[in-house]
Amino acid sequence: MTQLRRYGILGGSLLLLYGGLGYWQCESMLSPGHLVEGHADLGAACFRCHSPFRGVDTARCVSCHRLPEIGVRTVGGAPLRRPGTPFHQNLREGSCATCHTDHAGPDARGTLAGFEHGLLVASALETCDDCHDSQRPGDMIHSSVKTGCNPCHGTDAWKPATFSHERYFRFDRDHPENCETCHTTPGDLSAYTCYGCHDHTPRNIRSEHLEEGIREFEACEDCHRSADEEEAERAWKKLRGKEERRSSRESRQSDGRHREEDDSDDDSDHEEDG
Amino acid sequence: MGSVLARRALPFAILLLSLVAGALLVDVLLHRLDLRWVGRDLGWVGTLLILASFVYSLRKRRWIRVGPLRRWLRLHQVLAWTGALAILVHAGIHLHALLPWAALLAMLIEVASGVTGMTLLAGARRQMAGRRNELREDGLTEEEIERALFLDSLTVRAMEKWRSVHIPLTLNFAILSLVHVATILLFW
Repeated sequence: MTQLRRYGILGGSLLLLYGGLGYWQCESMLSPGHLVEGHADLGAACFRCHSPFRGVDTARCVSCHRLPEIGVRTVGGAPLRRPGTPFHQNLREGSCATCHTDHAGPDARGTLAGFEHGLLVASALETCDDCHDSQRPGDMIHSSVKTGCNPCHGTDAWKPATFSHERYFRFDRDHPENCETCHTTPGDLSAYTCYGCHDHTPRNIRSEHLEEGIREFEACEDCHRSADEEEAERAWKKLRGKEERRSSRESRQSDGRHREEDDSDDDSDHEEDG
Repeated sequence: MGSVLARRALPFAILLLSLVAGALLVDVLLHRLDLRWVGRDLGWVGTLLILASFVYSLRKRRWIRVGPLRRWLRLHQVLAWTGALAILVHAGIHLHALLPWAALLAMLIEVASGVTGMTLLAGARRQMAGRRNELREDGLTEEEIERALFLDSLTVRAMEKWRSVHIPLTLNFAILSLVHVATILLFW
């Protein structure tokens, strides 16, 4: 018997041995960890969930775990004793195995991968309250806000907030972080007024602006992003420059249109003369 | 002069210990950098490296004829050692099923066997040649030299028989790895 043949027989025998052990003792030989309690009765019936070479088929999962009932009822149809917030219905199409392994596996942290908001459909990302209402802080800002969480908070972490008041106005000693002073419309933090304190009376503001030749001063934040008057002046000049350039452009365009109309009229006159 | 075995035991131990220490170091780094997922992919990397190391066997059997055999042997050693390191990191101590454990154990035995072949056999041959020359210079006849070297030559012969063990061990490791990879793909 040649050496190659001997090795061939040995290799074939080992293949049969290990393959056979894998087939007959698949749970101890192959399973990456004990199944979760709910699936423990599946035991060695690996192909109840696994499709050969295609992984865990989501269709098989939802054949027992009906999507509308996940988080609401048990697989048997009984209402959950401690229902959570149903959110599986709002997941984008994907595989259950993205989050669930169901084998205890090597990782002691369990069988569930971390939830990521990116798995949700876009509309669900607009309705944070559906899941987080109980976590909403009870202070003035959060109890009155009706614009949802997204304008001020990201989905990675609640803190720090992604909202920066400095984008609109920088606080200082004379303008402290006292929301109610400026945001006087309940439930709408996008509305504000600068007329709330003794110095900023409508009469004072009007006369001060007119004195500087400023006639449009209703939208304070266009120029005033802090108590710095020089900064406001620079912003106003910039705005005025833009306005002048726009007016000038419109004026030129208007003149051009008039000239074309005049030329057209002249041509018509010539034709009539001809 | 110490025995051939004793003189070559140190590099043998160093190579094996450096493999385990290297695996631990990489594993700790991956955990620290929150790159644990890399460990799973290192299974494929290690498998490919070990497969690539077998090109040496093709060269040795003259299925390919490019390059000197010594260089191919060196490449075989480096690729197999690096591949084993990747597989060790891939496996970590995270195993539950018996088959991957068996494959890992077979790999470690295979590495130990390989390192034995590399250090002991090569060292013994060099030492035997030197000793033979010394005895010739002392004026001993070939018969007397053979008798003087009998004990050491027994060692060398035993180590030459290593090959007849190394290849079945390789086969055992290869089949276990094959079944492991096949079942991973089957239950993807």
